[in-house]
Amino acid sequence: MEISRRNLFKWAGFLGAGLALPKVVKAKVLTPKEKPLPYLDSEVYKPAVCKLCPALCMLQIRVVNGSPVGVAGMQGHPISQGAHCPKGGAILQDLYHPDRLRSPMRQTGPRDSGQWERISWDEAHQILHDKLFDLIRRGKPEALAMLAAPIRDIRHEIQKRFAQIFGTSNFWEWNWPLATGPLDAFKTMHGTSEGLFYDLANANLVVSFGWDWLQSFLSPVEAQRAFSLLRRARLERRTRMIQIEPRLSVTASKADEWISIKPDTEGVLALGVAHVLIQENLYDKNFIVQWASGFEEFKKLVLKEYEPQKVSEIVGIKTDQIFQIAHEMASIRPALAITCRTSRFNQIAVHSLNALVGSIGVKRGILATEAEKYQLTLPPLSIPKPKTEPIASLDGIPEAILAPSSSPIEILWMERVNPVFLSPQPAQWKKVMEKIPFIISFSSFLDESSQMADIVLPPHHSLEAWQYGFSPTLEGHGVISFAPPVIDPIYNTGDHGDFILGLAKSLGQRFASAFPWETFVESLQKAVKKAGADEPMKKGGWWEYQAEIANIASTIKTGSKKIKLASEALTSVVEGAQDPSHPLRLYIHVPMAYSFGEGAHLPYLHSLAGAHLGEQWETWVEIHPYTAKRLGIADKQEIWVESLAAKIKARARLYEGIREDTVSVPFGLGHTALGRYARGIGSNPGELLSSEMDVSGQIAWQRARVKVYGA
Amino acid sequence: MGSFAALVSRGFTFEFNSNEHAASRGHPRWGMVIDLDRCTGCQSCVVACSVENNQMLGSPEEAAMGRIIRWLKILPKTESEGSRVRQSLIPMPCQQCDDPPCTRVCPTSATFINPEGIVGQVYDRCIGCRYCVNACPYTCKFFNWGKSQWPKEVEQSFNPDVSVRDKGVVEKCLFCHHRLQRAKDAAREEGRDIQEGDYVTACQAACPAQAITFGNLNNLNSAVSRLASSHRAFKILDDLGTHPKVVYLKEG
Ligand code: SF4
Ligand code: SF4
Ligand code: SF4
Repeated sequence: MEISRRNLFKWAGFLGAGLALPKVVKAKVLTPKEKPLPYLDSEVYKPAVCKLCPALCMLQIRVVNGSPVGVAGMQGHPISQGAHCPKGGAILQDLYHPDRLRSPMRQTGPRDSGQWERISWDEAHQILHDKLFDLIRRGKPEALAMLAAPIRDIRHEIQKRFAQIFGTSNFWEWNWPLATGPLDAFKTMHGTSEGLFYDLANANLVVSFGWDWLQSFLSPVEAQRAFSLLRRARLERRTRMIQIEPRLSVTASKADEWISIKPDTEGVLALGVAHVLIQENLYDKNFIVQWASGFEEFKKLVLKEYEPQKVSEIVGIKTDQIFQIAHEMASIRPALAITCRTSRFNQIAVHSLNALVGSIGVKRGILATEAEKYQLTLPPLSIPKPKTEPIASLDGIPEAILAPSSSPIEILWMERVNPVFLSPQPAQWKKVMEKIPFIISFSSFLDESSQMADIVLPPHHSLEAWQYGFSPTLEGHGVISFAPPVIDPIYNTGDHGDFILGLAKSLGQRFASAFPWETFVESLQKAVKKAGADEPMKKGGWWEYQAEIANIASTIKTGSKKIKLASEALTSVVEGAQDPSHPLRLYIHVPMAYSFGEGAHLPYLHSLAGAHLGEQWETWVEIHPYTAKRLGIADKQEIWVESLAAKIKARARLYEGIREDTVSVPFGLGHTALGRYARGIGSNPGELLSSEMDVSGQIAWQRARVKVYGA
Repeated sequence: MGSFAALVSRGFTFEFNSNEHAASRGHPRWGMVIDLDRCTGCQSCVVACSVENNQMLGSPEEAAMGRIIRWLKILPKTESEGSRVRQSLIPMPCQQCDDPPCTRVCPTSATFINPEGIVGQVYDRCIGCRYCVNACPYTCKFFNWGKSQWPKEVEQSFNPDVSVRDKGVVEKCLFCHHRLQRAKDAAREEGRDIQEGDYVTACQAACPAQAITFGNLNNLNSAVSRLASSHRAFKILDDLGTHPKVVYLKEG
């Protein structure tokens, strides 16, 4: 073995162990089994913006001899603060994934046939140009629909502007409801969802209604940090955490108390708590008088329909527990009631509690800040409003396309989204795609949705191109982060922003003048200059804007300037129909490894998913030991989980941390595409869901009923 | 005493930390404290360790045989008493025992404890007899049953400071020993002694909850030695006489 500086490093510390070996093993021992370590000619640490989720942490990438070989969080960066989440740690597997697409592709066989040919970027441009030009010529701009990843950067702005100039209102951001705050409740009650934040890192009491926030917060790194601070940062008071969830999730196991309710009944429980607060005069009257509207109707409804005894039967807990939650929320001020973006009913019911206890617009409660205004934007342009309304809300797209005889959408443009995997009833979305005449997907991998596309365009990896991104911190401050490319693109990938600029130029003056930049980087540089942020831009870095913590008035954008206690969204007590043939409820959970439903293509993440049961690289079903015994199911047995919509195979795991009337399956596996580490591994519980909407018009993620039996 | 008593009743024994088992006097004695109250079980540390140490990718087949190697693993514990269920996820690197059972049984001295207390593993000397694997009460040693399969693209991301283990050898957490070598080298180049914070393990650096503290237990002013003598400190299975240098802080 060659003795290099590197090898010396490696062995120096171990030589002290001596080599007094018996003769017999000497020959064997002295035969080197390791490849010599490579020389280390150059070593640098480069800044990068992680784009594997919308949190946009900054990383430091260790580059040795020109290759990225190590990852660390960026010290001092307001979001990552030197750390990273499991996904960020695996970013090099994303970069060097053997199944990453290496050039633009055109499907040559029928959709989903897997027959592809490589094409050039110019050809791809021409094909899309012709399709778009045809829509312009026929005066049907609304027949272009765009589904965009919810990442806030200038490429996203360029794409959005393209849709606006084109004249379509069918532009949707793909938000993952289980990893987003209750934006719909904010919109309904405050008249805006912008700038509202849970002051998680400072809270006194966190009552989480069904949000496994340690696993699926918008920013995973900040969620862990907030938890750690809540636990150990403040000497004067240890934050109390109550987790209300059918399953003993990681968050539930770290909370002070776990209250296990039936799936999808969080809203009913919240209104039961509201009942107690109102009945016992424990609510914040001053706050309600000054800042809320619709209280009388709300009160009437809640007192009539959500009496604790009745609520306890629906949600499946003891009546006492409802009183206990109410009393704690009334006494530990300000109490924070949090939930994710599942049904609108649940969101509104839970957020109403924040109004009742006066936790809005105060520190340790719901903050409002103006962080958003600091993000870099393109110069304003007045664009006429599209002539037609969007065909539907995001959840309503399948119905809007499948119902009429011909698809109202002729071109579907997807940017890093995968509805055929990430929606309830993926088969439904597949049908949608079959009906749309032309589909283009910007994606680094052939995922389920890209397999249905006619053209797939692979963008540069985030380590291969200039990055800019905006994200708000937990405290509501704005952070803009920049990083130049860490390495040159490895393959014939392209810049998504540049491609759109090129397309705009070729579509005529109206488009060209809205995009007066040659490249995405030029547009970024101009925006940066305007903001006076040239310095961090040059070498990579970030700017943090200490946004003013606004007063309560600025959280409210309703006509009445009051928070609307929206009783009309809450009218009926929702209890799904009993179905004796499917006696169990299904609760879907999302492990951190697959947060945002993504990540199954990265092998290291597979090893994390079910640590509490020693599960990895497969889909399991958590089933209570009593239930399993009753059904004759043994631990680790392969079973079917069957709903009215479909059945999937998974491994039964007996787990005391799940209700006896419920089974839980992790979301994230069961891909039929997405490369060798994802395809064919595990099952997708999304298939078990129906496309049924709940009373508030949103897809019901947690309402499926199932039966389980041996496979 | 709530969850502390719970941990004990779950079969963990403990010992309040003392420095009497220093591997040798006058050297640093590297140790780690993991605060279970802060740790959320997110496993950023597990991925960071895998990336840093070129660990195998894994596959469903290897998972089914229990052959996936993660030097830092999560020890799960779920317990129920009536309707009350408790669960802990405990990150477990090699406990870096001061009196390691694994080294005593190795016929080739492939595993040994160095003067700074790090339990090393020289792959070139390992003959794969797996005595040490069986001797480790913490199941922190891993045997390479097969040749790791790496697509050539992925090989480009290997950490050049750490070699890739071959079939038939045993591997384990080395407290990112290569980072110590680098830290010493950097300090030497600057003409000074190695200081607190120079030597940071990959798992510690990654942890968003700052649950992991690492450093010299022999330096009574170091954060790690202060935390190791906290009233919340305990060690896992310390009654076996292994004297781990990984100290846990109980929840609550
Ligand atoms: S990274 Fe930190 S919080 Fe996450 S599991 Fe590891 S020690 Fe725990
Ligand atoms: S934990 Fe196991 S492998 Fe590590 S030093 Fe102790 S006995 Fe050896
Ligand atoms: S100290 Fe290094 S080798 Fe050991 S668990 Fe942590 S990252 Fe892995």
